[in-house]
Amino acid sequence: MSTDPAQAIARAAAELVPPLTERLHRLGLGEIEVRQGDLRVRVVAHDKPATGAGGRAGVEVTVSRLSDDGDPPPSAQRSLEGLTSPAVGHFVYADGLGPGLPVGNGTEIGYVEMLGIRHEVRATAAGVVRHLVAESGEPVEYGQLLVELERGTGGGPPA
Amino acid sequence: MFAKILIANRGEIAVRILRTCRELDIPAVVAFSEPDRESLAVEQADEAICIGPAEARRSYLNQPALISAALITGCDAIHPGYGFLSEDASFAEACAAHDLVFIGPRAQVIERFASKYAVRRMLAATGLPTVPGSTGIVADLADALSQAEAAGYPVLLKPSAGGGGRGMRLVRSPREMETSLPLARSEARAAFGDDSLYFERWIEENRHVEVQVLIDSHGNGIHLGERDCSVQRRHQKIIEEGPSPAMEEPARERLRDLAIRSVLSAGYENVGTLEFLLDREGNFFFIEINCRIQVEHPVTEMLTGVDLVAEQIRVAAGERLTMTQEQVQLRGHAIEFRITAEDPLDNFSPQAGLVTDLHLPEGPGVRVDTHLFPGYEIPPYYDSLLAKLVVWGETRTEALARGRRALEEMTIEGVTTNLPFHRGIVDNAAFVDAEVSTNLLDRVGPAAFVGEPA
Repeated sequence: MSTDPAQAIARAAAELVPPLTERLHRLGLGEIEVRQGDLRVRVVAHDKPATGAGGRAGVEVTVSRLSDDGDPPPSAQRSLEGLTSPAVGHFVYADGLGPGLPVGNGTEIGYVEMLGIRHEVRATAAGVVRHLVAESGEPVEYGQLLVELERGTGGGPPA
Repeated sequence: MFAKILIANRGEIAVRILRTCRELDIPAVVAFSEPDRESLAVEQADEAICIGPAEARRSYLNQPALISAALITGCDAIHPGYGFLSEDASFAEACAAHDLVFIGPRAQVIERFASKYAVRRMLAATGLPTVPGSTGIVADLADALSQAEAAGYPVLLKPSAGGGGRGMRLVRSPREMETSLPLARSEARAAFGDDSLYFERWIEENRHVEVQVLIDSHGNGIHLGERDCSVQRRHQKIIEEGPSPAMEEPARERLRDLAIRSVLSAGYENVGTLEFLLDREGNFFFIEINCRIQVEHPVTEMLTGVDLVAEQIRVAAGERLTMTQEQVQLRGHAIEFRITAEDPLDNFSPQAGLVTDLHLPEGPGVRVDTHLFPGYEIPPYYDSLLAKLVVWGETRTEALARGRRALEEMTIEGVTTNLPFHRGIVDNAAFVDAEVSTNLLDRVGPAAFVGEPA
């Protein structure tokens, strides 16, 4: 096996990016990140925002070496859970929600208001809030990524 | 004029409406379901917004999602296209309640023209001939039997809330009425949530002829000639043409004139199509009105040079018609072939799959409305229309020759289509001689028209 980092990155990208992109679109996720050996492959959807410009949804791919960006090698696989919008409208976060907050499975993290009716967005697993992807008050489309949870490490009580 | 239009539809009609929006310099937002994310309309739109999952009930039929999508993207009007919510009075009303213009007739107009039976009576009162039939919604079996005896068998049972040929049943005798009535009722209830039925005498060997009308909200109206849609399979149109090759003057002019005068006096507005049955003797009978832009509207556009979608948008914005009846010039002959993902050799079973390669015909007198592109994955969730090939010629003979040529040029690889059926029927004597009645395909079987594989 070659140890040339450039070659390893190229090979990982060729192997992983197409299935990840397919999965990203199929599941309607905003981003997927996997680690293979010393490499981290991250695919981020450039979904059109509800009020954004034209063009097909594309992806941005980053392949990096963990030893380069100083992240510790993963002792356990981290798994991200994307929470997406169940409706078309304006998204509002639940009070006090922020990165690092542990949540239980079922905890309300916010709601999408569609024509005056609230459609709740709830955690689909216990975990820790990692990214607030949407802005409070932002217009969102169906399936748009709102929040990312890091699954499994949470501990908050279920709502 | 509108600031921005939400297109609440998919496929070729979403692309078609988008084109007109561009030409009118109105930004357009395409509302799409998840499997339509990679569609041509979404790609070409100024903006696009996902409104729900594949299931139409939760996306293209989801009224709150569509209205919310229009509001958060800053639209002031919604174009419903055809099918889905295009003739839904409750949707038109919901749009109005949110200060959105529904591009179609106003809710109260749709409502008045929604019940086929009521419309038949309303327009019969203005002098339009209608088919002999039940004098109202059929009350029960005894009522159906005595009324059918008076109108004369065979009769066609129809759901009052129906459309597109769904839920209709042919009844040839009192005995058949006894078995068909309850079946038709439960079908109508399941399909439309309303089990009211009426019936009309079934005119065998009929042709289907329809008149296109355009009416503004100031009481000005014109007709744009007729289309003949006699090539059908199970009441679904496959080929449409104009003018009707089965009509002659002065009957043709009388039909067009009666149609527009009748709907004008009944208070109709926006674009609409009055459908008629034409019998062998040349008598025509009104059957229903479609309160929307129709699939086959390009036939009329080829004949008149009028952009019907543009006129529809202008009229919905409250503008006056830009032309008089005298200014509408119908020239030549146009034929539309509906190219669908259906296998003509397997009972027209619907197909899905990846379009691996595509060649669209071009050249003089040829128009193709389609949402296909090489690499497009046809989703299995929606109707099977892939493209509309429309040809024009100075005469019907010239249009037929162009149709034949264009159908030969057209290739769609990767998915089975009904192209072989169309290639067969343009050479079929019954079609060439304009002898096709609406029941021909179902009587003979469409496979008989499929040409030999090249």
